[in-house]
Amino acid sequence: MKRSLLTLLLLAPSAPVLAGGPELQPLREIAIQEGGRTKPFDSFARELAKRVQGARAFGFDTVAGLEPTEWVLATLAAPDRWKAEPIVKVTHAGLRQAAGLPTDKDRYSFQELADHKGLQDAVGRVREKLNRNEDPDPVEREVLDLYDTLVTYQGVMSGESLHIVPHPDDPKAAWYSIADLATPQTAALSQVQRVRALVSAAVVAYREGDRAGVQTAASALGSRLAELAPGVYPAPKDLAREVHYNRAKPFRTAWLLYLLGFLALLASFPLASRGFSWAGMALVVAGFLSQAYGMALRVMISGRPPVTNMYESVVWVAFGGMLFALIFEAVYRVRIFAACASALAVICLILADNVPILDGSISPLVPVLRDNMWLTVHVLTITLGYAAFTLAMGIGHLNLGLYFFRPGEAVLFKNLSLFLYRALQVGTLFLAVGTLLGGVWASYSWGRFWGWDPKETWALIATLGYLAILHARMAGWIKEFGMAVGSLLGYLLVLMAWYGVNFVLGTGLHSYGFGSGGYWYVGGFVAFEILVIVAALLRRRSEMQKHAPPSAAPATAH
Amino acid sequence: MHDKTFGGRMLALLSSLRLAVVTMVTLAAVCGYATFYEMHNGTPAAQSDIYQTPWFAFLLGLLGLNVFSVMVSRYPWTKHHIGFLTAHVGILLVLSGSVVSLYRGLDSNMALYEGETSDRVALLDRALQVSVPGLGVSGTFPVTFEKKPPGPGREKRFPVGGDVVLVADEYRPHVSVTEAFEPAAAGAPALHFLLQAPMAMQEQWLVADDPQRSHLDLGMVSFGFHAATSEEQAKALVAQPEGASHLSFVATPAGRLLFAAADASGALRTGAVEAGQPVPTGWPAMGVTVDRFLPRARLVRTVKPETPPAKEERWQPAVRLHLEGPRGKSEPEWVLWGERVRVAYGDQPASLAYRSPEAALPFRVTLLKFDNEPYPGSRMASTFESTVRVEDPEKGTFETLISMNHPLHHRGYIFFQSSFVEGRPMMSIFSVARAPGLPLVYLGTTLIGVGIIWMFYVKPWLARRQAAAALAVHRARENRNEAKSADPPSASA
Repeated sequence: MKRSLLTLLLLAPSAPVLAGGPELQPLREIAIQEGGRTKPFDSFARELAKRVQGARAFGFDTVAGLEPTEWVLATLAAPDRWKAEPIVKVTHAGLRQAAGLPTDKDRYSFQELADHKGLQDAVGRVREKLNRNEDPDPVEREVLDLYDTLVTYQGVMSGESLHIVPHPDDPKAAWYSIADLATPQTAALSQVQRVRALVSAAVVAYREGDRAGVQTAASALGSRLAELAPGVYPAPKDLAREVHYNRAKPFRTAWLLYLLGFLALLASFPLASRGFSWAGMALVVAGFLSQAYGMALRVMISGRPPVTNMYESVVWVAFGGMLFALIFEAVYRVRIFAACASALAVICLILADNVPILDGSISPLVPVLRDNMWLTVHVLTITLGYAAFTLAMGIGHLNLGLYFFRPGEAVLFKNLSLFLYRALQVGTLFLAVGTLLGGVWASYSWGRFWGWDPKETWALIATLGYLAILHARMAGWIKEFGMAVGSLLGYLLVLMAWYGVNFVLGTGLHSYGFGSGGYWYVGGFVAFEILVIVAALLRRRSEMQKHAPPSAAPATAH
Repeated sequence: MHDKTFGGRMLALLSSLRLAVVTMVTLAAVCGYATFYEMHNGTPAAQSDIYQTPWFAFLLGLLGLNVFSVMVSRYPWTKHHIGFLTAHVGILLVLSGSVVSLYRGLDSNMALYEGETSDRVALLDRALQVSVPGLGVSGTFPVTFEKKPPGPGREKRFPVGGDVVLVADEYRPHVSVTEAFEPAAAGAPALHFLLQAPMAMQEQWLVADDPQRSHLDLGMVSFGFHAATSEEQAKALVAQPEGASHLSFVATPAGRLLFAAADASGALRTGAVEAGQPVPTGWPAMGVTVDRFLPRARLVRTVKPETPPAKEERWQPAVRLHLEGPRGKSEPEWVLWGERVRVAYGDQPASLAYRSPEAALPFRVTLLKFDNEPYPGSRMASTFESTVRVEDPEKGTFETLISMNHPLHHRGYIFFQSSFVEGRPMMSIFSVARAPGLPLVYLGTTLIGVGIIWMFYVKPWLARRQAAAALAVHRARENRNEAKSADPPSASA
């Protein structure tokens, strides 16, 4: 882990040049239709790699040392070797138990799983349940997932998963797979023999270690496929852009820059060094630009607004938090906002690449999410609210840190509270307006403004929570300490609205975003937060008792 | 605020920040509880037990009253109150717009098959409907059996008129239904057959000339069943093909069963059906066997209470109903949700139904076509859309497309593509709403946004500008004072 982080730090900016090789570029940019979308071969290979071996730390996705595109090619060249290679990762305890898989390891070979009687039986049971029109439970869903992955990988070896031949004239039709090329239905296509020959040529060249041969064959194959269906085949620049996005990993560059920026800013406080301050701010801004670049690429690739699933919302929250922080920095010039936001952004972006429930692949949208201005406005607004509250929560931690460990810093404590208040204001504005805009979208899409759907209810609860904090501050019931605790408490409500409704409650109209998993990450965070809050309140109480004379009226807790 | 009268004290209480914070926290806590309640008990339960209860309305009302009072208590207003007033008026508008929509609005569904026309929508409530046409009595009674079910000793009685009473004596949230036919003294002929294909086996009852039960269309093959009134008609029916890959059964008055089977090319084979023997249809790889034939049959339906499945959408509720009155008592009958059944009340035919009450629209809607298009190369839906024709006696006739996120707005009604039922023909389901309070809600939403921005950013900015201006004036005056130190200070300062 440590070594990989170090290598990463050293290599990240130049990684795209070093990894893989230019010979594979034409192959990466061949279009393939899968999961309702036409995408570069590179994306297909990466998504498959992630399905087969799970999410790897820091967004690495090589399989047994090969970049995903090469791995798929290698599979075609030597299927028997890859059937025996232990590359399929199965970590879900419930799944392993349900299928009776050996528990002394978590990586299995394709062959081992395909022949495993227990797994076959488990799949059969789930199938029966589906036939009875019953919903699978989370473990059964994992069983199906694993089965689908195996079927897809099997389909790579047989060519059935590789739908790379576009229908000559119908843009809505299913593409032909490599396996289809041998069947009579495609025999009428004039170019079929040539396409088959080029696929074989690429595979054979790879088998013989002739990388230049792979390049020649793949590049001829790409142009041949494009000629076959000029109106259907994606534009080369679109394919190239997506491959660039996959390989450049702008979000990883962003968090690396944020991390360096954060460290520099952190050092600048005790050192009071202008150099460190400037370097830190420059790094943070560079990270921000890299993130903005990545998001712009993603929007261009997917052709839709930047927040349509959990992964994108996490990236967006990191972005929004940083955006607000930079605006605040322009006003206050204190580096605290930037330091806080960069630390949070690093956490968000690393989580985005590592948590299984956050899937960075670009997949088609369900109908209700498509083509809607109000949805876009509502989601972007409400998640900007989350972003501001994330920043506030960060500052709240800082303030409670001062409270516990540096009680003498009264001025800083007060200043931080002002900053905290500013972040809470922004968050309340965006969350309140975003929640109401959600009503506007709902009245536009579902026919009613408000229906007490869990997602909208929790957005309202979070709004009410923060409004209560702001009103309590106005009444003078809470001051610096209360605001800091409030920013942590309020954030638990935000987490519930953001994650909890989709992953804990799992009911309601927003079901297109539902899933399972991530409980340990979120549960751990929540437990930690509650611990901090309770500790802070206890300490506060003992302080109040110490300072207040016993006969005096009981002081309000905070 | 310092008014010591009762009204003044009430205002002070209602407009207090303490009440505001307590109401907000209470509302938040109740809502939070409600979402977990919903997870365990389903959406309808959460709606009826929490969100739509009087006490929840009271909580929202209290919030509204609090907001209103705090605005009144700040009177007379100054420009410092602009943001505060804007945001709080916005909250009141959103709340009152919702109330207007609740009482004057409409929440309903319209389900149409392709080619079907309707001017009626089904409301979301549930009701019992009864009609005894011979006596000229009928009635509709909204019911919430989910919450207060009738049961043994707790029957519910609904007076229909003319001393006739509709009685519900039992309710089950989920039942299973099995249907069978048995020989009877009167009734249409019925037959039971088995279809054996390589991948599937199916069994089916057919009832001769019954609108719903005389035909079965499986796509590859289809079946029909007719009753002939004479031997001649039976022969004519058998000789008359009804299309390729179709098997016709014909019951003769003498109690015999004939068949006419057409193969894929339309060639016809005819003969008499022998019970338990395969019918020589000439269909490849498919066997048809009639195992029961009843020249006169009666439907026997068995309704059995079951444990409800986890998903509430799959529940099949049923209520047992009968009529009582001067003419006696009808046989108690289980009526499934959405169903209408015929019963005999004395010598009078009557119908009982358990379904949504309907409302009429001032125009007619025809579903011309329904499409659900998948994303290319997948089974994932990319869009659902319905082409409809609207015929409005006042506004004329037009055709339009309703798709997800692109509703139809017509005369205050909004038609949303909500879902569909796969089949031939396809059925499209629209939610039809009328929300007259929506403009108020939108205005309120805008005001809340503007008000918050004003309070947080514009007001402090104005204050800073004012302070800067005051400071400038003060400095200018000081300079002047220094210059003319002999002058006395101005009285207007």
